[in-house]
Amino acid sequence: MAIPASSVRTRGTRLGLPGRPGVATTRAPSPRTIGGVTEVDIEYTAFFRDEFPSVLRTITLMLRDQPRAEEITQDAFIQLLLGWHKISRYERPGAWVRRVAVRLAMRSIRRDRLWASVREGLLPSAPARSSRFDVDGAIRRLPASQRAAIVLHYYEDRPLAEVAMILGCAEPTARVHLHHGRNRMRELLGEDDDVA
Amino acid sequence: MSLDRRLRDELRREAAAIEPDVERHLGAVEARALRRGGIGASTLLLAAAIVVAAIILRVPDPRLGGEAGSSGPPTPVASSSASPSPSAAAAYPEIAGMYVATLENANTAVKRDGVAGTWTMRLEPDGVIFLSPPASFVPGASGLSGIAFSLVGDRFRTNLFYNDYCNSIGTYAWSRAANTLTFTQVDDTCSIRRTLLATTPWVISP
Repeated sequence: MAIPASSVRTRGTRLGLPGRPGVATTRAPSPRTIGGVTEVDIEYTAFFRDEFPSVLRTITLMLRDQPRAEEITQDAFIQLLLGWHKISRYERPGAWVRRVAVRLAMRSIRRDRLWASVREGLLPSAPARSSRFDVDGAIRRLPASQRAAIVLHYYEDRPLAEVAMILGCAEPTARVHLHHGRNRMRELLGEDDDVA
Repeated sequence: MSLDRRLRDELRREAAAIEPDVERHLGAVEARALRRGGIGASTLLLAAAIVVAAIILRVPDPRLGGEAGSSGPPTPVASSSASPSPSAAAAYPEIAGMYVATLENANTAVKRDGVAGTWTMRLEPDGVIFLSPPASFVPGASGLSGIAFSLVGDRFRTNLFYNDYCNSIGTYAWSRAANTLTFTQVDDTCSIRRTLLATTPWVISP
C-alpha cells in the first residue's frame, strides 16, 4: 500500500510492527515497546487517519449512539492493528476493517433488541403503523441486518454485491434485507413509494 | 421528495455532522491494543494463581449457598457476564430464589429433549438466571450464559436457550406457592425450554 507523502507524519509514540519488506516506513526516533507488543508503524497511523472517520460515521448511523459507535469502531481498528502485519498485505484493508466494524455493530444491535424484547414486558404496545417517525426513529426500529443494508446502500452508495460482502451473506440475501428495510422505512416514515 | 432521496440526503447530513477527534481515537486504540496485546504469560500466571488459591481455600459459593466442592448442587455454569448486563433497577424480589426440579426420563418430552436429571435454577432479583444442568446435559455452543428473565404481573419471559436451541423468547404464567414455583406455558415455540420449565413444579430450595 503506497503512503501518500502528505499523510506520513510522525507521532511521539508508535507501535512499530516491523515494516513490510519493500515498504518504506518512517519511524519515530525512539519507538515505544510495551509488554512485548511492538510499536505501530507509520503506515497504520496514516491508514487510521484516512479510514477511521468514515467507518465511525457508518457505525454511528447504524447504532444511533455515537459513544458506543466510537467504542465499536475502536474495537475494529484494534483488531486491525493486532493483525496489521498480515492484513496490510490484503488488497483492501479498508474493506476488512469496515466489515469487522459493521459486524460488531450488528451483533450489538441484536443483543440490544433481544434484551429489549425480554425487558419490554407483555403489555400490548401501540401498533407502529399508526405512528410516523423521522429517519432516526425509523432506523432505530429496524433489525440489525436491515439497518446495515440501508446505511451501506443509501449512505455509502455501495452496490448490493459489496453490501453482501460486508454483511457476510449472499447477494440475494442482501437484496432481501435492503428490500425489507426500505419497505419498513417507507411505512414508518409514511412515505409514498416513489423510486428516485 | 422520494423515499430514496430522503434517505440519502438525511443520512449524509447526519454523517456530515460527525467530526471525530482522530488523534484522540488513535491514542485510545494504541493504548487499548497495547493492553490487549500485553495479555500474555503474566496474566495467565495470575489467573492460574487465583484458581489455585480458590481451590485451596475452598471459597464458599454464594450463588448456591453452599461450599464449592461439596456434594451439594452442581456449580452453575451460567454467568451474568452478558453485555449489556440486566438493569439492577428492574427488581423482581417476588420470584427471586433458588429452585430445584428433577425431570425423569419416564416423561416422553423429557426423554426426547434430553433434559433428564436434577436442575438447579437461581433467579436473581435483577433478572438474571443462573442455571445448573445435571451432569448428563451438555449445553449448546454458547453454554448457558447470559440468561435473563422479566416479569409483568403473572407473566414470566425468558431468553433461556436462545441461540442454542431456541430462536424466540418464551412466555409463561408463573405462580409461587409455599414451597413450589410453577410455570405454565403461555407462548413458547421452543420445545426444550417448555419441557424444562413447565413439566414439573420447581421446588424452592432453602
